[in-house]
Amino acid sequence: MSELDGKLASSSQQTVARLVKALPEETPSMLWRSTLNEALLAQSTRAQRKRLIWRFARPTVGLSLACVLAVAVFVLPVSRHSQAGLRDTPPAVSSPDSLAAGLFQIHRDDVRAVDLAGTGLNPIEATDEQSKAPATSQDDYSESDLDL
Amino acid sequence: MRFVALALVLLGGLVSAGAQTGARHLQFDDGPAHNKSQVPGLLWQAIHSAHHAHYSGEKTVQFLHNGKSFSHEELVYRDGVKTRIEFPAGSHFAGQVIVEDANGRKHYFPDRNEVVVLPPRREESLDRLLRLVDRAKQGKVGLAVASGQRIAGLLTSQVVVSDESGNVTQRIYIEPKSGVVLKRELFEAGGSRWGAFEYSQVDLNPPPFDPSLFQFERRGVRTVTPKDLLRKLVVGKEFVGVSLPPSSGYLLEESRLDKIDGTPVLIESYVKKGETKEGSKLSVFEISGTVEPSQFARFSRNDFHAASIQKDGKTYVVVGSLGLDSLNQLAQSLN
Repeated sequence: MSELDGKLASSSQQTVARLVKALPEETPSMLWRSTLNEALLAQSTRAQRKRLIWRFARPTVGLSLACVLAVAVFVLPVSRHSQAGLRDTPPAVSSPDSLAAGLFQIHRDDVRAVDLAGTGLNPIEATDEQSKAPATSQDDYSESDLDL
Repeated sequence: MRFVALALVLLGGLVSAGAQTGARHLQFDDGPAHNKSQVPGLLWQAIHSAHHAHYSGEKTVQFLHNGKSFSHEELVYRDGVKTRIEFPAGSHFAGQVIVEDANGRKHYFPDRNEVVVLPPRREESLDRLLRLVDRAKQGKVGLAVASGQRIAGLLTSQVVVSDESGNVTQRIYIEPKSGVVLKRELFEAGGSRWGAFEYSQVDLNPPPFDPSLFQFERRGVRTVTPKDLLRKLVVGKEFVGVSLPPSSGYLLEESRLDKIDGTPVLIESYVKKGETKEGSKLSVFEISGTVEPSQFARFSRNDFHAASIQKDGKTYVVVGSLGLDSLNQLAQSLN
């Protein structure tokens, strides 16, 4: 202990102590403190606002995503369907006069076809391409096949 | 007790069938419903022949369709109400067979290995002759007899059918002894020939036909009905394919798609079961779009009328020679 006191009382230590004591005393100015406080306050308000925004933004974003999903899954198909339905709903026939005349003509032709065909092929059957295909060898048959 | 009930039911059925057959023969043979004096005996002979004719022959059928002329040959075997039709080798229809009796008609398509079961057509064509008689009685058509032509080596007489204004609409060439119609010509309003059939050879006294000639039974053949064909026709199309219920008394005969002035139309052709003086043929049209009923009323004439309903953006039209009330009822019954 005495050795420590001795070292502190040394001339070099006394010089350093004098130099430190000679340094001007700097006390932070009120202006600087006020600026610092304002800066700190501003910083904390921004963080608070950010937190507040996130608090509302997160559920809002979630809700919006859910809505978009719901619209995509439920609403759009229905709307597309109803639009398609509207498109499929045929409008009034453009030339009803000639259509009506055409229907009567078809019926008249079908009726007189009976006079012509009797029990044979009627003109519709005789002009039907499907019914004109000739028998293939596979389809050929004999009287015995027919059980005649 | 069960056997007694069954016997009574069978007896009832026989009595009813007998009564119907009797009524038919009364109507055609004695003709109480018609005044024979207004109708040439030759035509009565043809009507009578529809029940009793026994012949075989080959005939050529020609007609115009959509501006094109079509022609084909048929080999015909006829025994009263039974008919068999075949087609000569080389024909588009070679291999097809049609057999028909009073109960139905079978049309065999070898390429599809199908038999289409249809209502009989003999009654339908007979109805047309009877309707001609009725219209003559009412003065709506004129019937006259003229000398005919030699057809298939046989002399014929002709019944000339004309409208109220005297325009010739048909010429029916009949072999007078048998009453068999050997040639028939149908004319357009302007006088041009629309269609005709004519026998190139005929045997009016062939040996008795084997009854099996008028049957068609072939194992492994798919049987389809006009209703099956209708269902197949509308698959993937804009049409619903509604039809008249069996309770209407009308049977679906055929269905097809067509376009009238660019408008797609589903056409269904029906025939009345049994004989009727009102005309046995009926057409049902399904149209994608709406057409006011007044449009059809404008084209209704004495011979044909139309009734329509609208449902789900479609118009259904029933055209026939029935009265408007009956047609309206039929239109309402479409399902």
